[in-house]
Formats: sequence, structure tokens, C-alpha cells
Amino acid sequence: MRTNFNIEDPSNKEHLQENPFKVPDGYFHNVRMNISDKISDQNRKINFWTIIRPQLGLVSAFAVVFLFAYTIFQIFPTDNKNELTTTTVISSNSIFVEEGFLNRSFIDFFYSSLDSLTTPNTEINQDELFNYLSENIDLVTLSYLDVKD
Amino acid sequence: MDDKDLLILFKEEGKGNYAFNLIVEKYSERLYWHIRKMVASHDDANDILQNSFIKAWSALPNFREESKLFTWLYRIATNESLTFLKHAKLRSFLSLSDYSKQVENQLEADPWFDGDNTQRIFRKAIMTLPSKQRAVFNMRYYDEMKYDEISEVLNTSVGALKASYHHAFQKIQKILKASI
Repeated sequence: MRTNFNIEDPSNKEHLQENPFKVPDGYFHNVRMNISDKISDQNRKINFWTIIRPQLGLVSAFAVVFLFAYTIFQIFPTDNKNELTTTTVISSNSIFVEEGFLNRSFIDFFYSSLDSLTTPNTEINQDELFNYLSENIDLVTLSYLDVKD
Repeated sequence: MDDKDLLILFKEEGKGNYAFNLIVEKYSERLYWHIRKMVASHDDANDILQNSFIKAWSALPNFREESKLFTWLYRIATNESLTFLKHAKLRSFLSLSDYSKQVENQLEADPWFDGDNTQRIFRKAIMTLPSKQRAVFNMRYYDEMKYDEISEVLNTSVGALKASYHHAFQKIQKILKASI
């Protein structure tokens, strides 16, 4: 055992600083070629990605908007069918009111004076009825009516 | 061609690849030896060198020339080596094997090691140092870099580097005195 061995001693340092490692023949030439090839590959990948990225962004933006709208419609559905039906009923109802077949529309449904449940039906005078029929309905129609005594 | 010209050439339209190949040609050997002294194995050094240059290629357009090109490349290679060593240590920890023993065996069996017994013991002693301390020791002892330069590469204060080198020196000295 050499107790006076010093790695900073110039005679030791020179020897220890020598490179003890080796590389295979032609290694540095090959590694440069490899790096060059890898960088070309990397370049190709970067080019492809640069082209495809904005298009992917656009497509995904559309997809997000569509999904968002679709989800909104799924959560809060608009009941167009009912609205249409109600509108149609109201309009047809108003025609019947105008024609005289109905004495009220849906609009005045809540007027208590016209409500048959709260207002008693007035008795129809028989004379008035005969007068009305004779004035408004012809004989042929009357003959078809099945009149009870 | 000096570094400034290489960087100007790199920024020219369509000449990036050519300029970078010139940079690889100029610095690959020096960087390889720096990495090899850190990891000892030729295959690992080869992988780290290639990764370092690929990282440098991606980052070079953003290189602000605040440091020399070689210092910047040296920093990338050192960081790559340190990351590799950290992962290697973690892998050996998970496989319940002693990493320093593995490295020691690697040096014994390495067909690309051509040194004598003293150099082998010296290399083994260096491999017992913690990775960053090893980087400091290699840069100072082998490459004879100034502390300011090492500080730029490792982003550590000069005082801390001096302390780190002193500890490394003491440890290696102790191992060598016991072995030689």
C-alpha cells in the first residue's frame, strides 16, 4: 500500500488523465451519420405535424361546438310539437267560436260567467227555438230531423 | 468555421441540417468522452450522445447565445447523463441490486477499457461518487475546466463547486491510498 499516492501529483496526474477508454473503429463517423439520419426523421415528423396540427385543431373545435350544442339539446329539449298542437287547437277553436258552434274560446275559458260549471244553463224558450229554426233552417233539413214530441 | 458562423448558417433558410451536421462533426467527439467518463459504458454513452444532439437540434432555434455554443451543448449532455444515471440507479434499486457494484463489474468486463490497473482503480473510485460530484470532478480533473465554466454548465455556484471537488478529491484519494 502506497500511503503517499496523490492524484494531484504531476507524475500521477499525467498518467491518470490519460483516456483509458476505447471506441469501436469508425465509431465517430457512424455516430455522426446516425445523428444526421435521426434529425432528418425528426424533421419529417415535425413537417407532418406542422401541417396536420392546424387542421386537427379546426376539426376538434367543430366537434366540441357540435357536442356542446347536442348536449344542451339533450338536457333541455324544446317541445315544439306541443306548442304547435296548442296553437292549432286555439286557432281552430277560435274558428268554432266565430261560427257559433262554441260559446267560448280557450282564452276566455277562465271567465267564470261563461263557465258552465259555475253558471247555470239558461232555459231555452220553445217559441224562440221554433222561430230560430224556421228562420235559419230550410224545410228539407227540418224534415230530416228526428223530432221528439 | 467558428460557432458564430455555424449559428448564422443554421438560421439560414434550408441550411439548418447542413449547419447542424457541422456542429455534430465539431463537437461529437468531445461530448462523447465527457459522457463516457460519466457513465463508463460505451453503449450507454452512445445513446446519451445521440439523445443529447437530438435535444440540441430541437432547442437550437431558441438558443439565445447567452453562453458559448459548446458550453450549451456540454450542459445538455451533462443533464442527459445525470438523468440517465438517476434512472439507472432507480432501476437497480427496484431490482434490489447494488448500482455501484454493477458499475464496478461493468468496468471489469468492459471490452472498451484499455487502461492499466491503477487507471482501473481510479475509474472505479470515480464511479463511487454521487453523479453530480462525479461530473464536477471529471470536468475539473480531466477537462481542466475553470470553476466559472463548470458553474455555467451545472448552474451551481463556484463556492459549492469548489467544496464538491474537494470532497470528491478526498474520497478518491482515500480509496486509492487503500488500493494501490
